[in-house]
Parts: sequence; structure tokens; C-alpha cells
Amino acid sequence: MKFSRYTVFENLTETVESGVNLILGSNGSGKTTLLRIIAGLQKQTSGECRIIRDGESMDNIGYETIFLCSPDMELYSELTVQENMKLLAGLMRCNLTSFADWRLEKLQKKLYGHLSSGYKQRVKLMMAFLKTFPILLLDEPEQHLDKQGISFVTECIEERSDNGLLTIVATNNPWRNWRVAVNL
Amino acid sequence: MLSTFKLLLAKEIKLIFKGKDLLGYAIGIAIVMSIAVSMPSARIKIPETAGSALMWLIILFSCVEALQRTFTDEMSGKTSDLMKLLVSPSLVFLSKVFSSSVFTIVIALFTTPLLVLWLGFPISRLPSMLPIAVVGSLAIGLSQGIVSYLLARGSSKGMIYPLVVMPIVLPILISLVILTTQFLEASSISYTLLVVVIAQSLAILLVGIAFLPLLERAV
Repeated sequence: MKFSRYTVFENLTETVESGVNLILGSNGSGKTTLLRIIAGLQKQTSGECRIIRDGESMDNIGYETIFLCSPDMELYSELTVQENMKLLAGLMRCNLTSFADWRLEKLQKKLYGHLSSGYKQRVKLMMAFLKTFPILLLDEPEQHLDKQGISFVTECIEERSDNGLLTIVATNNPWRNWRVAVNL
Repeated sequence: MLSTFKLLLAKEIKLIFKGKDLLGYAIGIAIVMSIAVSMPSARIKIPETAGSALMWLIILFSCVEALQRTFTDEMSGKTSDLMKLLVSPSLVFLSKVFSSSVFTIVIALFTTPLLVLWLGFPISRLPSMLPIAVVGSLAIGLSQGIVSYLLARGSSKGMIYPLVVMPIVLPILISLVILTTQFLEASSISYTLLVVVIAQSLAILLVGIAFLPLLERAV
């Protein structure tokens, strides 16, 4: 993958299967770019990224299949936490989960733009786990979270793994004993 | 699909009217421009054609900000990726175009009576002016959507706006000026022209939707 003349990564071949897979790498190594390519938000300079489901290659990934939660993505700052979540639950066609699970019950009526970085991250993670996407891509999910937050998001990721779903986590440091799929 | 569109439209309308600065700004422009054009000509009889041309120019420029902002805010607010993951870009585009049109109608309903009063046209003409203001605003809103989308994606932003928007909006503006003049003069109304305005704006909207997937891939 290249940006102008700068090569972010090359000769990358990896197959990931259900469960939790880590993409490890330092700052600027291309973790976010790789996740964006998998999510279909960005085109790679060369090569291909294929998603195979039940033995069949998926050329057109539907909106129900894959979701990315990244620090580069934001919610609507002029809407409250509740308004944002209601909108997203409607678009994802799923029910709204409890705000208390993410310790957000007291902040429901607050504007998203007025939240601290930690709470914004909680809202974004709540959004990522609103619906059970077959493929979930998490870019540095531990960012800005306290110990309780990290432990809760770890539980959520492991629950997905137990249900045979694919989660790809991009991070700076090895996390738990999860499989390192790519080391950039 | 309809329920998704409704959700997106509600979100866009909420965002436009929650952004109090934008609403105030647009109404402010409308008032300032209305006064600016009416004050110097206080003792001069304004021809109906000039009056209606001024009215549509004010409505057009008052709404430019809203139309462009709906698209640029999605980019600068980093919410565009989230939408791309969840819904079709065409639905997002349509919701923005329709919400901007609603905003344009609100501005038009506010500006038209002011202009009729300040430009010295008979108040009795106002009831017949308002429906044309609504239809015309809708036509302007629908036709400017694709231009705003293109400009939001480009780096030039507003600088080339007049260059891009004029060839698209000018035929609609001219038709609206002719129609409004007919209303002001209380002469016979060309309903064919009204149909042409609606058809023009719908055609621009449809072309925009047709080319949207191509434009999305190009960036």
C-alpha cells in the first residue's frame, strides 16, 4: 500500500479466520490503513483483499456484514448520545442496548461533542457492539479507556470469539493471548 | 429503504435546525440583503422583473451556506466513513438534498413577505407568491445538491462555486424570475414554465444520483 511515493506496507499475505486476530504495529505502520482496506473504505495500491463466507467469495459486501470502529471515525457532535445511538440502531436495524453496560446512563442526554475522550470512546465502542456483525474491525479499542473500560471491551470481544465471529483488533501492544495475525 | 431514508432525513433536519448559528446566519443574510436592496431604492419604483430576480438571488445565496455545509460537515466531522459503512451513499445524498430543500423553503417563507413589503409590491399578491416561493425553493435545493456534493469533495470548496453552480441553476432561476414576475403583475401564469422548473430540478437530481456511485469510486 502506497501513499504517493511512501510505501506503508508491501508483500502482505495473511488469512484470518473466526476468533480474535491482532494486527500489531507501531505508529504509522499502516494498521488503520489495513483495516480501512478490509472494511472497503479505501482501495489498496495493488493486490486484493477477499472475504470468504461459507466457502464463497463475497464480491459485494453488504452493509450488514462488516463494521469498523476507529479513532478516525466520529459520531454527530450536535446530537446527544441517545440521539446518536437511536439513529445508529435504526440504521443497523437492531435494538438499542443498555447504556448502563457502558457506564453511559447519566450521559444519554449530553451532546456527543461535549463528552471527554474516554466517554467518546465508550460511545463508539457501544456503537460497534450494538449489532452482532459477522466481521468487526476495532482500531485501538483500548485508547482513552480506564481499566474498567478495557476489561469490559475485552469481555465483549471474547464473547464474540466464543460465538465463532471474526474480530480483528489493531493495536500497538500484544493483548491477552490473542492470535497475532499481522505484525507490521 | 424508506425507513432508512426517513431516519437519515430526520437526522439531517435535526442537524440543520440544531445548528442555531447556521439558521441565524442564513436568516441574517436574508434580512441584511433584503434591507440592502430595498433601502437605496426606497423612492424608486422597482420593476416587477427586477424585484423577482432580487428575491430569487437572495433565496439562492441565503441557502448556499446550508447546502454546502451539509456535505462539508459530514467530511470534516469525520462521520462520512460511518455512514458509508451503514447505508448507501445515494440515500445519504438524497437525505441531504431534501433536508437542504426544507431549509431553503423555510428561508423563502421568511424572505418573500419581507421583500414584497420592502420592495413596495401590493400585499394582496403575497398569498399567490408563497406557493411559487415553496416550489422554487424546492427546485433550487434539489438542483444544487450535486454541486454541493462535488464541491465538498474537492479541495477548491467555495471558490469555484459560482462557476459550477451557475450553468446548473441559471435556467431554473430565469424560469422562476419569469414566473414570479407574472404573479407580481397579476398577468396570466405560465403553468408550463412551472412544470419545466420542476422537471429541470428533478432531472438534475436524477443525473446526480446516477453519477454518484461513479464519483464515489473516483475518490
